[in-house]
Amino acid sequence: MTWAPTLGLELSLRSGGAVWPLLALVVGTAAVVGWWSVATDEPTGRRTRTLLGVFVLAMSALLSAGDVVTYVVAWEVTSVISYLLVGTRHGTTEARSAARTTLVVTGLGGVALLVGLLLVAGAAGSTAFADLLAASPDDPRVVVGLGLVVLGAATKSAQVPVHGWLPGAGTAPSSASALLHAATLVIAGVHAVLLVAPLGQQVPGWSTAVAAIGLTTFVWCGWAALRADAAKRMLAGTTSAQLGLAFAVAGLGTDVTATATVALLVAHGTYKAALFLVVGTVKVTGGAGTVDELAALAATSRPARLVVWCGALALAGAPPLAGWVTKETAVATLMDAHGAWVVPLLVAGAALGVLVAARIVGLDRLVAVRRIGGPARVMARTHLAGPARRPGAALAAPAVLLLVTLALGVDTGALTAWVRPAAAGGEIAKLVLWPGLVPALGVSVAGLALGVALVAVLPMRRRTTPWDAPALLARGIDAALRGASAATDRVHAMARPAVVAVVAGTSLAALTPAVAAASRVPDTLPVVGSWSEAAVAVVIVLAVGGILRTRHRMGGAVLLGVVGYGLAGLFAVRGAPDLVLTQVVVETIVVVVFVAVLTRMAPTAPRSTAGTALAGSRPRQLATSVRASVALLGAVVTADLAATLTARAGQRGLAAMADAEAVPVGAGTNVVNVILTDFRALDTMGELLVLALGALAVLALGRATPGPTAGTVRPPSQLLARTAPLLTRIAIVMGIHLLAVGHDQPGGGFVGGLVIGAGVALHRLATGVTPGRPSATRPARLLGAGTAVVAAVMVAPLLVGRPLGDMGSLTLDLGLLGATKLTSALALDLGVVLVVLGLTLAALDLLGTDDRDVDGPRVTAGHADADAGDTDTDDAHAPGPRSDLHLATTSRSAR
Amino acid sequence: MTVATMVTLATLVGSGLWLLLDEDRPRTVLGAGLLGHGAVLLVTLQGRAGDAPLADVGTTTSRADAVPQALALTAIVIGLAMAAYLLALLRASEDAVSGPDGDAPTPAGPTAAPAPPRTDDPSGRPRDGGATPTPTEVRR
Repeated sequence: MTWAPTLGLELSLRSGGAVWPLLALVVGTAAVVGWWSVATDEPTGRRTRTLLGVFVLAMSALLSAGDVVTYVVAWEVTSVISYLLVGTRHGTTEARSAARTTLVVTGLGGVALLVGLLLVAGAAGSTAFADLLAASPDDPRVVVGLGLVVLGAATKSAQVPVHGWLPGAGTAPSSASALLHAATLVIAGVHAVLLVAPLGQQVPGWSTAVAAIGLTTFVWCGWAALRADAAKRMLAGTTSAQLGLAFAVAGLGTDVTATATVALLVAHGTYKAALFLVVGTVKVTGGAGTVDELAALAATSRPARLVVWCGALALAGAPPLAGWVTKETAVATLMDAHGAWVVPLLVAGAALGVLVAARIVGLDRLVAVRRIGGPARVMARTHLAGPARRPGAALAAPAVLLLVTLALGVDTGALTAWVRPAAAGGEIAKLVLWPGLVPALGVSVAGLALGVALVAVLPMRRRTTPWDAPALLARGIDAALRGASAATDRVHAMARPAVVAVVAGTSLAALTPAVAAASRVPDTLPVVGSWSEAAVAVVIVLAVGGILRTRHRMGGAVLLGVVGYGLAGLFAVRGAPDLVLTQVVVETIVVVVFVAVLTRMAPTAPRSTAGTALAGSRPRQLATSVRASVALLGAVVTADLAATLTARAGQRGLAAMADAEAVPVGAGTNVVNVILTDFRALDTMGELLVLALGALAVLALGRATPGPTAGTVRPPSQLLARTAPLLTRIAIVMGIHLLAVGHDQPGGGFVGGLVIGAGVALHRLATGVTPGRPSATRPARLLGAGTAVVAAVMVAPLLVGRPLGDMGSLTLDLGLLGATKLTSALALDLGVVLVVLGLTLAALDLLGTDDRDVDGPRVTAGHADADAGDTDTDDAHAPGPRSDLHLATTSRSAR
Repeated sequence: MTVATMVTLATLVGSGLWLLLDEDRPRTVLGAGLLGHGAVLLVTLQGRAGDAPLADVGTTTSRADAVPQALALTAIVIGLAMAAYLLALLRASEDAVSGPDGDAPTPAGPTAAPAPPRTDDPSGRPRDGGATPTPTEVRR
């Protein structure tokens, strides 16, 4: 599919190489994880499963991307979803900090990857992966680029030294941890190395560097896992470690190593996802998720013991599980390629795996207990905090995954068949249960033996370490934020008017020379066009004068409305019916909301308070000369700009084109609406996003400040209360009418949404409640739905091979009802209606009532409580901005 | 374009800037509103005036330019979003300064207002959630 052909961008997918084996892993794991999530009725499960669905799509796109751009876009999407999932419980500091770390690390990694791939693509002359590998390995761009790719890949696969985000990522729901942080998301880094390895292995030292990173991680994170207390942290450590092994193998860049890598990923993904689901089971049955509880779980029943032990053995890399087979192959491959220096690292890493496995089943504790002579089994049952409820069927899902691991280990032919496509027809790695008496076997056995021996002698329970990477990382990010905050404080120490004056003055000063240089006077400049125009202009100028003179705040707001209506009059004179409609409704809403906000404030603005300032601060009112010169400069520059642009508007190619093609191309007679929904539909979508963001910011601000009060709503007038429902219905019908005819007559989505919104506003003002079901009128949901509709209309043409945003029309003959024209522009306008309605309702939140608060005692509950309640529910409201915006307002008012 | 519209435009922009530089926050919102009106007017003035840009009204040469109108239309609605945001900010800052009742007249601009204690509460929750009596209680 082409995206922007002029830039050589296209959405391209491929199916060769490691695509199918890894896709099978992703989809298979996702199915089992989804089943587990439903079966256990996981907390926040619906939200999680939705995100997981999107994630599977993005991950599939990532694995099958045929060119750099598609690949990087998919990569970023997976990063963002990981961020959202890690921050699921955003009510807790821990989750927020972990989510931020995840985003910063993987986000920077994404940048490194992008730059790296673009450098290589520049050397190869194409962004397609197929051509990428043909780049010359001697080109410095390739050398630097491949280094950056490895850096980006290391962030995603949590390799040393950028592994710090993964341990904290355990704040995600367990199903998300199982799918993303064990089986799929984290393999993206290894996959990236696989992609470029055939080129990379020709660069001297590249494979060795990759192996060094991977094997260091293998040992380092294995050690970190051993010291972790929370089960998810421990599993995250082992994930980094196992992926380190895969990373090292992937860097070798041959068909054999590619299959060996994919086999490692498949084996690891299945059993690690299973272990995460076991931890999740502990959690949903009431446990806290510590390592000890896993052993306790094993003690509850025979099936539970089977599952936990099987998972632990897989982690230890014991035969006959797939973990053993793949590790064996990996060790052999690495020893062949890199020689003796890898041996100690491999032995140590394998031994650490055994030790971690021993912790999972509680062996370490049993050994300690047995040493002092107690009955081990009884101690395990009584001294370890067990789950509150029986795990029951929740263990079925991990059991399935572990059966797969077992089956792949016993039947290595199946494993071989699974990974064979990764070799693209070449030689593939030897995956067998018994490799014969080769050095690699010695290494594996040595690792296992060392591990088993250490289990007996090593006390394994020291938890704090100054080298805790996640803590260091979090501290670094905190310091950066504090630094930014301090810098802002320094720069923004001036009073607000002074800051605004600097910004406005600088912009104008920069603009002035350009405008002056191009300045032209129109050939004809009549004093007035028509008497009606002159009358409207006089009204506007008088109203502006009134605003300048009055200190009465409400009066100012009402006069602003007069200016707006006057502007609508100017539009009418100039022949712009759409603008008249929109302007009138917008102005009405603005004035109503403005007045509502002002009821909370003193009726008049205080006289200038220069001189009564607190000791030591500067006067806040700017000197009149400064204000006047900025204002005057602005007025002159704008008027000059308008004159110049008018003088140059001789050729009206664009307007003539729009006028001529509206009917044949846009299938509508209202040229303005055709332009909005067809000719520049993409821009309209961008503008809707701006609207939606603004509305979300309004909602977030409303929530960040103390609750709205019932006091600002006056007792409704009986007459109004009785007529309002009718008027609201009329407004809704009118809005729908405007939407329906908008493509041909004045109207359209913008004004339609505004009219409906105004109707709803009237209803609320009159009766104090929002009509309709509360959930249907939640602004955030309307915004989301509208944006989704618009995006769908924009993307739909791609599916039938038309360019993005291509609009079509269809005439239906409905018999007696006559012919009806359906256009995709109408669908786009429907999305516009929803977003604009959401914006209007968000603005109405400022009126002082909140539809959630009207009919319940929660009016008095205070917003902190409401917030705490929100955090654990499936709430559609944007989670992030609330706290940040609150801080922003705090610091604003603090100075 | 005529001198009258040009004067209107200059008045809107000049007054908007003047008010934007005021220390009183509601007046800065008024200023932003006037500036927005000015911007919309500047855009619409670029096109030729005439009959409504409907393909079944008038002739190609008598109709007004539709392109500036389309640009202005979205600008107006974005102006609504901007106004709503500024008003939300106004309300939030007013509540932060004088408490949610808003009855106390603000003595001065933002700097002279008694600075609320800057909380470093990592949870980022509104700080006056629990202890402060809520407005409804006060009114009873």
